[in-house]
Amino acid sequence: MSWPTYDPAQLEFPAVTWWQGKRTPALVSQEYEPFPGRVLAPIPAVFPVLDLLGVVTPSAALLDVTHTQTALFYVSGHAISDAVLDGEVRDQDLLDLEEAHRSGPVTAYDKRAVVARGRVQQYWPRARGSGEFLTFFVPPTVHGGDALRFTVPGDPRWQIPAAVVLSARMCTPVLVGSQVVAPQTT
Amino acid sequence: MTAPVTAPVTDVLPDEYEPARIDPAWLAALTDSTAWHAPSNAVPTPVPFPRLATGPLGDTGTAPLFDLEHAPTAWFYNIGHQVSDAHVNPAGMTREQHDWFNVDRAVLFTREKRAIAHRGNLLRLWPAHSDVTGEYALVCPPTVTGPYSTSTVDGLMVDLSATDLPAAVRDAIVASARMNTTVLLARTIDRMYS
Repeated sequence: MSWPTYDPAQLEFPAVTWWQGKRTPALVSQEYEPFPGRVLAPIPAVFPVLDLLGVVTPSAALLDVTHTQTALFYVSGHAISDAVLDGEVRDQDLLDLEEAHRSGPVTAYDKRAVVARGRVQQYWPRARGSGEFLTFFVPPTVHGGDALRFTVPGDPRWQIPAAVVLSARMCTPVLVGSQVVAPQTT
Repeated sequence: MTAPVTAPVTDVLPDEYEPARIDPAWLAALTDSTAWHAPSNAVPTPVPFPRLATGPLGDTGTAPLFDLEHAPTAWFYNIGHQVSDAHVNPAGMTREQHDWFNVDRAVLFTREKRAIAHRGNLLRLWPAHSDVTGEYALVCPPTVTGPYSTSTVDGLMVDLSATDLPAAVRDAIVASARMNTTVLLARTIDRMYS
């Protein structure tokens, strides 16, 4: 029971393509390693957009898969910013964004993976001291109000297969992030 | 470092997709003591996960994992994608019961079966049996039968970000609509390591 268009054979599990091959280091190392072959860049990005209002300068589309360094993005409620390629998370930036938007806490995430069509399209290593938990952001459909969010602990090798399944069974891209805790400013 | 060659793709939402209709006021009123049963429904018969045997734990009574009819709140157990039947008279595990499992470098989860949703509709909600709070997981049955193999496992056992019951129930209903399938909402009661 699933969508008529769903074909489980489309799933490309990290367990198959990485654990048994050379790509294992790409998931555990701190270095970016481009995935071989052609990757699919999901469009459109249908997340409600969090405007960074000049506090931080966005420099790539949220689901862009062509950048080589681990990017940042900011989240407030259901809204998610574009990606920020350079820079660190600063407490003051988070406070400024919260003050400007008045919509609750603003949280920064390392952009760790973009998953679509039952396959990890690109993966980036941890940076900026981001945590061990991965969050899967599933965008809403065109109908709105049906976004989903999952937070999973542990090793990406064990957890990212769930994002692969979500993308295929929901016919959606999945953005994978890990929360960055800003260093306390004195 | 060279950037990958990319091709843009647009994910096409299936024509059959119907967003779930959820009354926010009803949802907000849910508590751990709420029990609810849809007036009528077809009983879902999803593809089973590879079955986790539970030995003496099952002596007090079991039901199929996605069964809708048992009155008391059930617990179930899983090691990875191996999932037990629902245990309808649950209690904490004794050392002897735990040792029955072969938990070799794995984690044995105890989970509480709280709700079942099917294609955007809530079918059943059971009240809490344990006072553990906080972590909810979505259990979505696989579509593929046959021998257990990592390349064919498309079942899901994934933790929700939501930590309160109304948000978790909403997520389960939405997920069942977006996957066009049956999902089970579970609350994580315990993790046991070898």
